[in-house]
Amino acid sequence: MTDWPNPFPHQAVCDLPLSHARVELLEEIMSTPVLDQVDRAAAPRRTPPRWLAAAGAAAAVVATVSIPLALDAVHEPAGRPGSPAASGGVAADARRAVLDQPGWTVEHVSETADDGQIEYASGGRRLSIMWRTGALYQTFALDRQAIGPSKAVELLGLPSRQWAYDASDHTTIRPVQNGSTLEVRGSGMDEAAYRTLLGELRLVDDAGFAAALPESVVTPGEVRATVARMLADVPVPLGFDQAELGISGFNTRFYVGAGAVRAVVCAWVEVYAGAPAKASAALSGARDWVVLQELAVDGSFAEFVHETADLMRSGEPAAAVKLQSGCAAAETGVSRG
Amino acid sequence: MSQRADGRDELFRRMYADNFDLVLGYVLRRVRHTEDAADVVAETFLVAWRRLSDVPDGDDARLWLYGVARRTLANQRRGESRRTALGERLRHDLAGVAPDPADDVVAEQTLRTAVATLRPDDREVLLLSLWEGLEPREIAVVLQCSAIAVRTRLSRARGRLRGALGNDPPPDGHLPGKHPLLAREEGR
Repeated sequence: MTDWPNPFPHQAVCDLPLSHARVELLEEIMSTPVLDQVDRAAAPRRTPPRWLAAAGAAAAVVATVSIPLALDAVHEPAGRPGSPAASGGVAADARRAVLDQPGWTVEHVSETADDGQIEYASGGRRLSIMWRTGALYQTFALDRQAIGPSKAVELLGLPSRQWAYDASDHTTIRPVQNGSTLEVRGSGMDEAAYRTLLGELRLVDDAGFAAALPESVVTPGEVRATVARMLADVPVPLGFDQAELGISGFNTRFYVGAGAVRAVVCAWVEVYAGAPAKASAALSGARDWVVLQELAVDGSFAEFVHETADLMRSGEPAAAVKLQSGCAAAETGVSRG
Repeated sequence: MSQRADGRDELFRRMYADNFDLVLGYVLRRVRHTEDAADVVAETFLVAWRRLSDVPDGDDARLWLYGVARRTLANQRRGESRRTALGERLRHDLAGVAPDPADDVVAEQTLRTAVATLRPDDREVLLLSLWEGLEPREIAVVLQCSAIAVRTRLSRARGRLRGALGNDPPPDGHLPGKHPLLAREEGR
């Protein structure tokens, strides 16, 4: 795996001998007049929601922690995938969990073959349920030790470990069962409320999960038709096969649309190498694609398409377009990193 | 000095103490010459001092400050920022003691070169995740965009690096090791 060096790790910054300089700067700043309305353009316009405070606090705290910890301190899985002890009478495909509580709504769902997440919100409270392939259990459990001491709790019938990022932000990891592990994190609520919600969760199989989702979520069986509708006015290169997109699992429409459009654009980037005018013409009308208007509501994904079109229009070499568009290593399905 | 002014001063001192190293680190990771960080840090906290009533409480302040520092950095890169009269000692001390990121070893330079091929927005999303340890929704606050846009950019940035390096970046989120991030829904 690539090493990702941080040129200035937090601790190294803290260790810099700048105590005099920082005090001097503080006094300099505080000696300037207060002008409440200046530099407004330089600052963020939005005030972060309160629940972010918890996550921010956790990040700030753990960023200073030295990590190495003994793996044997991690709660061991109760069983091995597929073993009778592990299955505990739970259906083999019941690897996801859902929350059925009035007032809580599904914010988004995303899933690959190996992992997935559903996030619920209720006012300022959030509950994220993440399921992962069991091979990732130790990685995440070991990592969570950096948060601090853990508690033994029961989650969906299995002894699990719970950590507190702070008083209103908790996470619990459930050991491997039937090849999958769960993590549930609740923010914006105290531990008692969080634990109450944990008790309301239920494991579901594919059918149960589908039944628990809002209509807007695209099921695996709906992917093909959804993609076809989303790409109805999108020109695709000869030979482009929607069946090869590789979109699997349950996803909110954004992920399906983004995956499909990305695959189309990257297919045109391939065409660009041999037929630049044709590819450039295909993307030139992207601003009118209905699917991009839908995706634009949720973010800036459309920028990816328009910037790629601009690269083509400006006659950039094919290799540069491929690299700068991100299509050099394009995945044809929904890529979530 | 009035009690109100005293309270304001105390509030700022506390916010400054809590966030100085975080902001300095954020800036140091993004400037070519370490002493340049002094101007950006000084300007960032000057904005905070002037607009203290707009700075969120507690740890949310960090995200707000990152947002200001990011814009100040962008102005600096465009040559639009004025050289602040503040922070001269910080500039001097940083030049003397902080390692210069340009002196990285070859492997790090390879990564740095690969990261440099990313578009600025994508690069910043990736670095906020990897270096600052922020979640997509926290990154969204810093960048003033949607969390979904962050996830999209993060995915795109990773794809590009994967192509450039022929290797996978580490998984998003609450990573084991020296950069313990908050995993949650990172990268989706």
